[in-house]
Amino acid sequence: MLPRSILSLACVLTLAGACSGTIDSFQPLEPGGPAATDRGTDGDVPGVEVGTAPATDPGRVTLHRLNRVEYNNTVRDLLGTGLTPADDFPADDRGSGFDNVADVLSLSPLHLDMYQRAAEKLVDEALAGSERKRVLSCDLASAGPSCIDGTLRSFARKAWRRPLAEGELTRLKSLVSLARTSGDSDEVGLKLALQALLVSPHFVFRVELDPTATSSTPHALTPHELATRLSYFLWSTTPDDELAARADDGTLTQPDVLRAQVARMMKSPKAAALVDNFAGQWLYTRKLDEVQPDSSKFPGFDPALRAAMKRETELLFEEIAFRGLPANQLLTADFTFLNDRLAKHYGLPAVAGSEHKRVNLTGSQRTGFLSHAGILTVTSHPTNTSPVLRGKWVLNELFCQDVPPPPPGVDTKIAMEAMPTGSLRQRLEQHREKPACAGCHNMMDPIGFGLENYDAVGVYRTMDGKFPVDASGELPDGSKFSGSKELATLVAADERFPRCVAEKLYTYALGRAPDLRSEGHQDAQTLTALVSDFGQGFDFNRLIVGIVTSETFLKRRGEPAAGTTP
Amino acid sequence: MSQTWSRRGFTKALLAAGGAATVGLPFLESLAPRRAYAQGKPATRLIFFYVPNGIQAADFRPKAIGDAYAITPILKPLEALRADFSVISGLENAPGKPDGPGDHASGTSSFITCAHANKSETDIKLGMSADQIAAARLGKQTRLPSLELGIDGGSSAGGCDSGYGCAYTRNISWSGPSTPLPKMTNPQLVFDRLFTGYDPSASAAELAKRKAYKKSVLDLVLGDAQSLSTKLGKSDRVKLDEYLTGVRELETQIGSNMEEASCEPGTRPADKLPYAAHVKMMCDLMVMAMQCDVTRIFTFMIGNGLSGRTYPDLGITRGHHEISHHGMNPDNLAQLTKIATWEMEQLGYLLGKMKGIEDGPGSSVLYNSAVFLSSDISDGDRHNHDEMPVILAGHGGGALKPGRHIAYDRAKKSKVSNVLVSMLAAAGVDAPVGDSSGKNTDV
Repeated sequence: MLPRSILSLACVLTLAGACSGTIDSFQPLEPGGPAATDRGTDGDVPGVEVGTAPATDPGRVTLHRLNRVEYNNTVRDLLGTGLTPADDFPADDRGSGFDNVADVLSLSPLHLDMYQRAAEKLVDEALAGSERKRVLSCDLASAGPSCIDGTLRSFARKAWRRPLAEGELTRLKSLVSLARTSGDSDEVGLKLALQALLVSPHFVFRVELDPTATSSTPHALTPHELATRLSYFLWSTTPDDELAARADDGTLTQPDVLRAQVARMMKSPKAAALVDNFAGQWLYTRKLDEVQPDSSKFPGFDPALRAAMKRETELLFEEIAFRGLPANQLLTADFTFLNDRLAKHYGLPAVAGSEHKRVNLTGSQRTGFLSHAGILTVTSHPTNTSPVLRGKWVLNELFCQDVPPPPPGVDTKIAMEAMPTGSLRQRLEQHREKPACAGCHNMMDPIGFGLENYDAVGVYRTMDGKFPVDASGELPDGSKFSGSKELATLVAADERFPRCVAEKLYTYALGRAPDLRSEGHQDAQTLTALVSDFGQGFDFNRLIVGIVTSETFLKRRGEPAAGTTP
Repeated sequence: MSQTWSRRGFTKALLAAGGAATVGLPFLESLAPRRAYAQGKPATRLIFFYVPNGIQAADFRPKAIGDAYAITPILKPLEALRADFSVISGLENAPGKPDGPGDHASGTSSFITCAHANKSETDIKLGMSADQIAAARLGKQTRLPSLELGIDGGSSAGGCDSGYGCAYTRNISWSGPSTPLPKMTNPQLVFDRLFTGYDPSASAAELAKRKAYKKSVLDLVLGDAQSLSTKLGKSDRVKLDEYLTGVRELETQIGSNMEEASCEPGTRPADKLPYAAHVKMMCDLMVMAMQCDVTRIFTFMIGNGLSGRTYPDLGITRGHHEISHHGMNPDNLAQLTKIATWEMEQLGYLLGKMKGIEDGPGSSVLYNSAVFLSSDISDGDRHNHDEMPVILAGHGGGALKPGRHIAYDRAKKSKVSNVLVSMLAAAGVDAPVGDSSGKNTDV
């Protein structure tokens, strides 16, 4: 759990009545102040020295259960299957914004039941289908025992992401013997062994072991563990043959080899996993699958438009993350990706076909993802825009600042019938005259006002009903702006933005929340270093390499038993 | 739903009976007497039914106390069943109060754990829920110890509630402090799980062999897990223990001689259904599980905590949570009443079906059940955890005395957990739940 920012702390105090509840009641952030200003009051913040000794604790990632996406991708790569069994698994819980955070990936008896069903189905399909050779490359009848050994070894090498121990092979082969004594063929037995490999904890968990489980002395991951971390970070799937070979020969732990692997992997189509899973959760584009805009108000909102909106943001992220463009162009890009449907939705010149094409936005009302219909839709209510949700999204996702929900006893219905006089903005402003609301809404609403030129499904407008849109706004630090372009420029230049991006990607990469509180923990100094490097040119690739080559990614430690001193 | 559900009369009749079921179906007596009457009396079923965003008291809570209360607008759909349920008002679920903001997450967490959720995105700590306390004692009597059902899987991006991890708003069933039991939302998969191994075309020998194979695969992975466990630190071991529990549970299911469904299933339902049909189907599946005695313990979330669902069929196009911050606005209140009334209709559908199934001489499944309905909070606007909306239905096999409005003075701080303790007691389980201080002897 990340510490709360000063802003949200002030906001809570306001709610608790400790302050008068007006904007004067809390300290605004210093404009352009040090990166650490809103990092909490503990002092152990990036950029601030904690204690005297340098931090040496790389932390530890809890035994990581494959999430649904990782499971599906992994069996795809293992078996060449088109089946996606994990679609049926229970939804993965999310913590710190991502569903790959090991601490919250719990495992229930239902999961085991599903794993067993999936394993039966996958193995049956694999041996019956055209991909049979991928798993079984020899003839069981003629090659006999050597075929069984070879098949199990090679499948286990991929499924367990490490070489199989002899004892493990012997145990697996006991299932082949069982089939034989039950009067079945070796193929039946082999299937049981393959099923066991897929239900085993060595498959469903990414296992990282400590030489001594209770020792807090840091140690390097094994090359196989490192390959696995890297592969699930960049690809959300199991290592491929090339990466596995660098683990097998032990060279992956050499910095130049590791960098070369990152460069290679970023060029692979599998790196699209970063778009779907990292950006999809960071920017909420995944939410487009579930929003329910009011169909009477927005009859044009259909599955095709949903998909087109999602794709636009994904493509912009992809373009920037993978082509070395500065990350703050996510906000300021004067181009986007549209298909026929979305171009029409935007009222921009026609684009032919359902494939998205790069479109220049110069002279249009849009720049960067703050004007993407997808983001504007997932931060709206079903019937109307929400400057509150939009402002909150900017604070949460672009500045990494939390904002609490409304306190008890407050009518949050700002909708039409109750106060028919005034634009949504005017009604919200009225609402902010209530001291209980002011503390937080003074932070959120003025950001969201800047996006009022886009309706609840992202269509450009100059009128909110009968009222002209006033898109002037203000950031919590007092910077004033008008409209989405100026807002985008301010956010892009704000140093909270790169820090926030780094923090999000770091959380996702490690599958754990950064520990910025524990004394001696390396997360704070690692993040500081990453941010300062990333801040140079906002290059995602540099950030990724920085994360992958940091000690917290390369090392881990055991966990002292309760009551002992680390 | 297809009317060709089954080749046997009982399920057909069950479906035909629908919400107003009155047809006695002598199924349990004829097909599952071995287990259902093992102790000389019918088994008690426990059902925990969660609705999100509170229920506003003005249209829910009866004015009068006792059995002669005037039905309220929200309770209207349950009127025909009024002898079979009580409304209990004035109870509090104090552990549901969050640390700072986050009432929906902490209230959903405390729903039937009556425990206080640790506020964290990643350090998930709560307590054991009432259904799992019961399942730990009774679960071995049926093939599945319990069944966790719901409608919404969970949002796919964004924070869930004010610094509380998403586990807290999505799960009400917890087998341990950091182990939520996720719910099944796909009706087809629920069906498959209930009737797993059912294969009328296979011979007894073939079925026995399949079981032996399955068991051997599980034995092998159990061995993997046990040897791995010795190499792990304590946090990792918590995860692996969850795995071990799962394997052991599957092994028990296979070894229990109940793997072949003891009743004949019908047609698999669709995997996706529109909301209202989805809710009904989940109720149907619960009733089927009761009929076939696959399990006796159920949880059902009609929506996740903080649900923002719109109800276009009811003419409601704003999100439920947004409306629930009603600020006494009459339009909001009217919409909330509509949603809550609809929710009671669903409860009525479930109870009606349970009442329609004979369970021992002159008795029904509903008579032999205890059904608890409540929410994460009381009022959507005040976010309070006292004066909780509570319905307790069924007669618990005679242990409960439904048909009344039982009202507590909120100043007395009577606990929701004590009602849960009484439910468990009706099922023969004497155990505390969360912050309970004993049985509630009034219910």
